[in-house]
Amino acid sequence: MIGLGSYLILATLVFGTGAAGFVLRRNLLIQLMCVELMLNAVNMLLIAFNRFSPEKHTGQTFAFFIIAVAAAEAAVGLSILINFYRLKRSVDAEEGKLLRH
Amino acid sequence: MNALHDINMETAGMSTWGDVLFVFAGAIALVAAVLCISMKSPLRSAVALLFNIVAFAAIYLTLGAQMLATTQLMVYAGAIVVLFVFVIMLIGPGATLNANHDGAAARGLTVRAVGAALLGILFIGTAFQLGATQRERPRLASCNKDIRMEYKKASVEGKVNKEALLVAGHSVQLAYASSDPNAVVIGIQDGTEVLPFGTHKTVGNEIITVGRCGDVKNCKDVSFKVSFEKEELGLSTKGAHGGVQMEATEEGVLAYTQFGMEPTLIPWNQSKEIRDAEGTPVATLSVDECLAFGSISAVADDIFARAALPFEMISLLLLVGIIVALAVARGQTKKERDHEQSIYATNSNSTHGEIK
Repeated sequence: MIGLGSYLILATLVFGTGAAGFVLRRNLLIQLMCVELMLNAVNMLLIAFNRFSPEKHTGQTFAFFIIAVAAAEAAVGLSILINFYRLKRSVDAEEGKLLRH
Repeated sequence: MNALHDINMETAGMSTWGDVLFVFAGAIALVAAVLCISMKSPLRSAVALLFNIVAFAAIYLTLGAQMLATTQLMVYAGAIVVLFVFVIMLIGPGATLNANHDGAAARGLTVRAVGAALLGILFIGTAFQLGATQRERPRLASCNKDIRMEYKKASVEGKVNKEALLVAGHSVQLAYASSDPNAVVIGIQDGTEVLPFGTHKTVGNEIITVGRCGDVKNCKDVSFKVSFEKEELGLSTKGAHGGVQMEATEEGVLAYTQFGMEPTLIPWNQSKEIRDAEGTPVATLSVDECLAFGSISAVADDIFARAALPFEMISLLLLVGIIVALAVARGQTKKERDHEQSIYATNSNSTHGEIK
């Protein structure tokens, strides 16, 4: 029987994968993709919770807004990335250490 | 019950085919997520992300979120992944970091992996705990089911506002317009009570709301309405004739036209003629079923009615996002300006400035 728990586990695993990728990888492009993975996992959680208490579509409405925000985030993030690349000639996150120390 | 309703019931009870789809799509989503973070080439990562997104759309279908599955495909697969691929192509070979550097960046990988595994175990434990306490069978989506009653006698029409009759099952036995134009008389078990428009009253576990026609969808012919928030069914009728009492059931609505007579069953989404004691048709009664959970119209109803302000704000945010993206992407660095000037100065070929 697939219940809410299965959805929670899957979302946790995908979110964990995304978070691990964000920490482990140094390629900014892949880090941005990891953010998308995490947002997706959260979306699935919201929809799953909504399915199991379906009085109103609150979870689905939230998920809808998160999708919209994710689109905006991807656009801004990628434009920052392009600028970063033009500045540093690299997509390595390690290069962005101007404000470090 | 129509086909959509059947499917809805099945997903609510987590049917076998829903289970299979979930396991299949979940496995794909997980494998694609792992591939997405482990591929060296970002282009391959983007393709893995695409697979992940499509699998998630399938999972949304098992959750009865048809509209979001569509949105997911359109926005994520159609826009975001394309944007990623576009940027990767724009950057060119520089998008892939060289292997030595990526390896150097993965220092302390073991420590992080162990930490991530511990966190994962913690989360999974929590998830199992939550899963164990879940409700076995989710409730069906509740909404107000309208019964519209259209009287054939023209003479009745003019009196609707004054004498509209609301009859509903459960705790409200009777409702009709009072002498005060801003209130409705409601007959409950303790007797009758005058309830002004826009107010609530709790009877047992029901919340009775009295709303004007403008607050209620599909009620152009209903002057006011009594709806139930906790019960699944709300009924409304109009007309000057008293004595029509109705009760909602799974199959449809039972209409008692005369006291002591056999009720007429009107199935959901159908209409029937109601006759009075002499056999002359008095009214046509039509019964609307509530919108299916997760259907486009139901979600859109929620988004554009209840969440209209957040929707507008999100639209604004998207607009701001586009403008910011443009502003950020258009900015020229000092290096590039110098480079361009040097090109003008030496009149050399532009390939000189390409990345190695």
